Amino acid sequence: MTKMNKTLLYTVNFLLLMIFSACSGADYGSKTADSSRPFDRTIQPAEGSLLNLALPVIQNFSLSNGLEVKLVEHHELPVVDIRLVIKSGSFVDPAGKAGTASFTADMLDEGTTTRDAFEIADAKDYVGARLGSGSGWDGSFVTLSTLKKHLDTSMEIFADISLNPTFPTKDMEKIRERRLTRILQRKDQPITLAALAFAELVYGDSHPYGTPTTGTEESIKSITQSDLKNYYSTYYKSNNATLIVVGDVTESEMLPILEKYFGSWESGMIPETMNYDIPEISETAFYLVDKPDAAQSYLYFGHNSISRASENYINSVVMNMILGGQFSARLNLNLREDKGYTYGARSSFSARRSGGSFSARASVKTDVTDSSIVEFLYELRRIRSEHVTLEELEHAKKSIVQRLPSTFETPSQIAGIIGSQLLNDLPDDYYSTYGEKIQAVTMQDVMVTAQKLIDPEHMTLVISGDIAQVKEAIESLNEGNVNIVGEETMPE
Amino acid sequence: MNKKLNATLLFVLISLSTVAVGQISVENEMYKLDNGLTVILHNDSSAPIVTVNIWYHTGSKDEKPGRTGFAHLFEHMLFQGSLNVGDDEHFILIQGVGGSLNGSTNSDRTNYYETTPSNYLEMLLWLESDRMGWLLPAMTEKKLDNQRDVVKNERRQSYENRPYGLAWENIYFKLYPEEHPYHWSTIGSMEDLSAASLDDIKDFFQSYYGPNNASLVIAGDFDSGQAKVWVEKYFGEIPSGPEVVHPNPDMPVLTEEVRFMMEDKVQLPRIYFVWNSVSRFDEDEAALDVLGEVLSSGKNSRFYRAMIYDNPIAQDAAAFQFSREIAGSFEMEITATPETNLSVIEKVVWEEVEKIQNELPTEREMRRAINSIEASFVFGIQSIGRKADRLNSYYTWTGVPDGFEKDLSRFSNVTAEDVQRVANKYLDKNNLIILSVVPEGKPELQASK
Repeated sequence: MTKMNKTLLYTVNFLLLMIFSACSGADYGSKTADSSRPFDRTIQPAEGSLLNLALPVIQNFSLSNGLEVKLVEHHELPVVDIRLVIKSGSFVDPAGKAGTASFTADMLDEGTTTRDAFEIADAKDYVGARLGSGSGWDGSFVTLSTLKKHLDTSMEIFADISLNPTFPTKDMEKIRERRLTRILQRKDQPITLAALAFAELVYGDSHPYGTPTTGTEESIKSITQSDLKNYYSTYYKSNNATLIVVGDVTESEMLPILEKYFGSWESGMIPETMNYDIPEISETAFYLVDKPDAAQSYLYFGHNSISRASENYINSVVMNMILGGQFSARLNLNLREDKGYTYGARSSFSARRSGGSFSARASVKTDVTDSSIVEFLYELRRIRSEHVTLEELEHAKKSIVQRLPSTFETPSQIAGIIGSQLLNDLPDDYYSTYGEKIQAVTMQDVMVTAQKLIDPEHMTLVISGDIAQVKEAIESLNEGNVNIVGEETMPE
Repeated sequence: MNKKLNATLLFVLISLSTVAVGQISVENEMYKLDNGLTVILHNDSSAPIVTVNIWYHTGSKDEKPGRTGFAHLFEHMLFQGSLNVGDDEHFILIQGVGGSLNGSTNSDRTNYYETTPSNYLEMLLWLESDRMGWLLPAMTEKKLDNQRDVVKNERRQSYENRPYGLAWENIYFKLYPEEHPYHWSTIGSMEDLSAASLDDIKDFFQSYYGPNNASLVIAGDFDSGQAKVWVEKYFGEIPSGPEVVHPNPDMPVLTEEVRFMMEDKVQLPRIYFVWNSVSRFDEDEAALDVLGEVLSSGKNSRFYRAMIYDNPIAQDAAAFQFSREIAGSFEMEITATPETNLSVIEKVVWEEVEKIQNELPTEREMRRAINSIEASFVFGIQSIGRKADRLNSYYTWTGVPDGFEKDLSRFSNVTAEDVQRVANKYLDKNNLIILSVVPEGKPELQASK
């Protein structure tokens, strides 16, 4: 057993909270004090004294086979969260076989060399453990939440489905049917229809991002048992994985258990990840997906954007927080709180390992579809052409930085954040400098970043709704060609 | 400040059975202000954050005829400012310090909650007290019209434009008679939302939003002594409201089978079975919860084996007890595979119902169900936000915030005989609602008698 990089410790005082406190209590309108009251209720209380956020202390070690482990002690409750992260996901699905990574992960608990699907479920339900598996663009995951007293039993099941899956034919066919039915159900959801059309229009069908991670009817039908076995035996290797452990345990407690169950897992050669071109968008255009008689139109606007590693990432977080990252951002305050067009409007960057997208979205009442488009484009253009106010900037920065304590609250949150750092090559101490980086963003940075990363003149505007009611009004906006995405051209 | 001495969570492990969880206790201090506001404090210094969670014991059950959806619309208005807090400032101030916040309304209660770094506790108390005491001066026609539009869009988004989105509303129209307050949905009708006026706001506020009809939980990393001073300072001068009397009609009982059908823009047929059962914390509630687990939770459940795996006629199948304050129902929601006739599903459902009515569930089934429920108690108190809401829930329905142990023991004590007994008592073959939702133009897929 070798121990590497034993215990990389960091604990950071959140000094930047002090910096922020100087600009709290912004003036949101003056009111007259009422002296008959025991104190002046018009005055917003000052914030309390500075608090310390101790970021999770990540201890690194490895098993005898080289499998890396990241462990965080979290002793609030007698529970343990374990997350096996495989550093390959849907991005490396074989060509024409979209959904392979996700189907593979889905099948892990359907049978192992010693248990069938029912025995696996019985064993974990008997100890009340939660076991899950799945995949995203950049990684695949097996997760376990267990009471500490059942750690050994739960770990044995967790390791069994991670290391010994058999992908039994009978269960595979049943899962395939259920996946095909879920694909059929996409047609029920205006939001899903719009998101799928958007992905296909922006990335085309030769880029992995153009097809959903869960595959298409055609691809799911074409995936064979050996496709799943190949994916598994290529990527589920000890040198392409990391175990994350967060909970009421210590390294010395966990090491023998992990060694027992994962210590002889083999390594392998992991293929290089390919690069793909993204089609150029020559001009802004509308794409309408018909949902006859729909009570609302779902708007999904955006384009290709930066990867997680981009030097613009930090700036994009601040800029988006002002534009549409939360309730109190511009898009929502405009479309919901001022106009009442929608129950909520948001925007976001989806920054992945190999690229990403920017999108702005809302479900709006059908008869204000055109007016809502006008407001969206107004906000997307305004953030490029005018400086945000100092007040908006400070609001956004404080919002982002001071949210950190809540995002590190529970073991499963912490395990999730560590997993995401891992897949994006971010260092263990990433969040110890995150606040300073956010704090350094200026009004000028926000405008320049908006100019770089938001381009309303080369945007794909997908609208799923009642075409008969909205098409003419959209055409008369003169903001771009209006195309109909027909049933036959729809991604499945 | 002596946080270290306040045990965050007393966790006593005792052996209830071979694999039981143990006992959970969430220590707290409860007291009342002179105006009747209940205050519950729970210290947990595991993260430097604090949650404020207020429950008003009112919901759509208290709505007047012609004003369905009002309690929820009113909840929206509480985010539109108060005498000393500007329009949308509630959201701006809390999100501006990295906080999260929201509110929700159901038939029996309305809650408001926010979590921020703990050094903003005083600000949260100021915000919550201002809208509890001084809401009305800030209410305007313009704000009401705006939120009326927002809520109508919420109805469109979450009900009308959502697959199967109107099913439950239509079920409760039939499960409860017109005069019963669970007859109508919390989102309400478009017509009634249009009719809501500023006078309604004033009436509802004065009737139901007094401190004597509310309970305030503060949970997280804070100093209790300081918190008490602030609670008195900010909430102490708010006058009590009138005593609140909630409608409490007799538990309705269906005396016939009500079978109906709706067409929707969906790909798959879905069938619903709904029986009158029991209200929250009734002595049969825990057994009904376990019955739902045995029938439909996990791959070893009866429904998974019978409808999804062995003979795949369903895409998903759920059975569960839904308890409210003055009534409840046992419900099943089963989505068929494409083109499957819902009569086929119905036949299997009755076979399974008869089976559990006639044969005891196995010891293994019971342990799986109960152990999963018990573990979820522990997983459910990992975040202070959820823990605070549970404290308020136990307080509002039972009078005791730390109801975790007592609640847990209800499940530990459920026997196989109990499950069989409640299956016989409530899953009556002749008195229930059966709704078929079928794809447009395919009425032949409905479950017909």
